[in-house]
Amino acid sequence: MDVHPRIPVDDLGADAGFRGGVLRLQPELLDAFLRYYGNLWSHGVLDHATKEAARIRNARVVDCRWCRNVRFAVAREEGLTEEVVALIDDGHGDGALDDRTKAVLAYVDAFILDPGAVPGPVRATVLRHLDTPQVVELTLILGAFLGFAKLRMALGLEPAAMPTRVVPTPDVPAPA
Amino acid sequence: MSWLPGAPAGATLEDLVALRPGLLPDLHAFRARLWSGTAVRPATLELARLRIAQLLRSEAELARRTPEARADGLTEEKVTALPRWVSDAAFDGTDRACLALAEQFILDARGVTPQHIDAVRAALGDAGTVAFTVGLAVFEGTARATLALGAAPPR
Repeated sequence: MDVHPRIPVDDLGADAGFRGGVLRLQPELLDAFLRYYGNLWSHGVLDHATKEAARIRNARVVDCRWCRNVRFAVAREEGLTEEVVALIDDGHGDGALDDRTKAVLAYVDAFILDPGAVPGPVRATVLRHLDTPQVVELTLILGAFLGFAKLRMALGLEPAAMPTRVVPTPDVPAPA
Repeated sequence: MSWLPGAPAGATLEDLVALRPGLLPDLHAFRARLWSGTAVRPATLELARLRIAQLLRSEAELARRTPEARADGLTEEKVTALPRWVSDAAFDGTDRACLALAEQFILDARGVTPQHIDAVRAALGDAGTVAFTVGLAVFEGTARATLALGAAPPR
């Protein structure tokens, strides 16, 4: 993979995913992050397809080349096909996505554009489809999506190009 | 105040995170590792966190002070001077390299240059730079979450 990290590493590993790259310079910090992130993904209250749709929308808005070309496996198994993913684009509110996904993506856009001014109708609509714990989970995982997409950009962990591929959904790491 | 049904009056971000079962312990462990386990000075991390809070206008994050940073000697006088970090004598070369990266990260991460990273590497080392950048990701995500959820400042 054509990746040029801004912190040199001797062996980038099989891919530019977190474990194979420069983040392993802080192994305990990385492990703590992966526990938190894995908890959000795989031990949560919101379905994987919804979280994956939010992740992909974030990836496309912030233009993270790695993020937008991976697909997390469980969401794919839940039915988030490439046909649906293709609809997660500008104008998603007017397309063929279901109302729940549209509500979530409107919230994602507001989170990215101006989190302090999420419009009332966006809040109201997302609450028609998600309960409070689900909104909290969605918001926190969005923070991780956005922050770590930017981390990839800042540290040079994005490939110039990569094919779309399915990767394991993050989960809490097994004890050593 | 938070717009979430069932959120307690005056709910902080911590209170809101608690509404999502089973997450707080892992979040606390992650934060503890960032603040105490990476060899990056907590005062350095705190300056970045607060500058990010200023840029994103998160009153909740601006009102909070991290105990580790206080213990590391970060004063309120220096925090007050933060908007003038480019020129104020209170800020040294390490502060300026880290804050320059923090600001660019927030404004446009695609505009972070190798020079930004190299300046932080010179100050913090490679492992420190990784930890600091993870911190930036966390601080931005947290500030945005406080805003989106309507979290109150700490009591």
